[in-house]
Amino acid sequence: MTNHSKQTLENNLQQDLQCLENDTEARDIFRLAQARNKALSQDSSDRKRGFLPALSASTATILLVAFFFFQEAPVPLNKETISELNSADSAFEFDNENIELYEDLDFYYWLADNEQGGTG
Amino acid sequence: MTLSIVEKSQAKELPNEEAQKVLGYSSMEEFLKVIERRAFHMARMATGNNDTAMDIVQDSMYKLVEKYADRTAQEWKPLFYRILNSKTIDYYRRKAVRDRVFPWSRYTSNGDSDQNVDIVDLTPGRISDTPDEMLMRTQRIDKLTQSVNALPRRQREALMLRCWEGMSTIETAEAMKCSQGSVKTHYSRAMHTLRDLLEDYNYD
Repeated sequence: MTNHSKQTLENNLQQDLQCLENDTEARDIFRLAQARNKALSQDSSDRKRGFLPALSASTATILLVAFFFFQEAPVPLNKETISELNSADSAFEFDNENIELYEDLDFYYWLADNEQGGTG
Repeated sequence: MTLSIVEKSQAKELPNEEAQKVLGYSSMEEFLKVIERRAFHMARMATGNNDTAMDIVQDSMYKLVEKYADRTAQEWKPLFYRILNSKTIDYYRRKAVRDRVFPWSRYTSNGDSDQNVDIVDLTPGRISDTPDEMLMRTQRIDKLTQSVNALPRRQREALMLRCWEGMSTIETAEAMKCSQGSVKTHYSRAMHTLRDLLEDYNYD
């Protein structure tokens, strides 16, 4: 096949194929438009659908991070905190002794009276 | 809308927006409008069935929008035709399995039925031609459709993309997932076969 005849054949084919395209039936044009709209609309709806789980997942992640970050931090052990803890313990012990003293107060009054009576 | 190879090679080098102007579409919707009829006829030639062709085109559009809407406009065409070709191959595979399992289906499902078709739907798009011209063109296109249909699948794909869509060898190779040399071979063989088949129609 020479270049010229090949070019002619190509041109004629192109022309006829273009005619075929232009002569598309009205029913098919309508169905193609429907198909196109369907394809384009799934784009936005799918993105919306995909957006919700992504949003909820990211919100949950932020909340988790915030929870762990703002949780009350443990008090670091240094001299000050240790002395504070010791003083609190000693006060507690002192309080316990006082309670015992008050509970046995009647006995001590009686003992004092007897001692005063014995000596006096 | 067929662009020359020079215009397309220029488009590759241009920034995205300008390239879109050169290509003739600036959005996915415009691209689909430009391409849909041609794609439909290609699929119809490949399958011989209107409804199947429509399904294939719709699936291809759907997948292109779903997966590749964020690509540049220059990439859409080869990607779309690659999807269209793979959908057509899927159809052949399904059909082969169906024909093997249900051998009688090949006698009932092939071709389009003209029953229950509204005559308005059969009205061609152009009404300016005289009846003689219309008849001659219809006969010629019927013969062309049959001849193209008779080509092996790869030759038909190469012919459609190169001759009809006006794609370059590089773009066609990209769409067909093969080398440029293979595209040239398929295209050349297709042209030789068509020349023999359409001898009576004075194509030369």
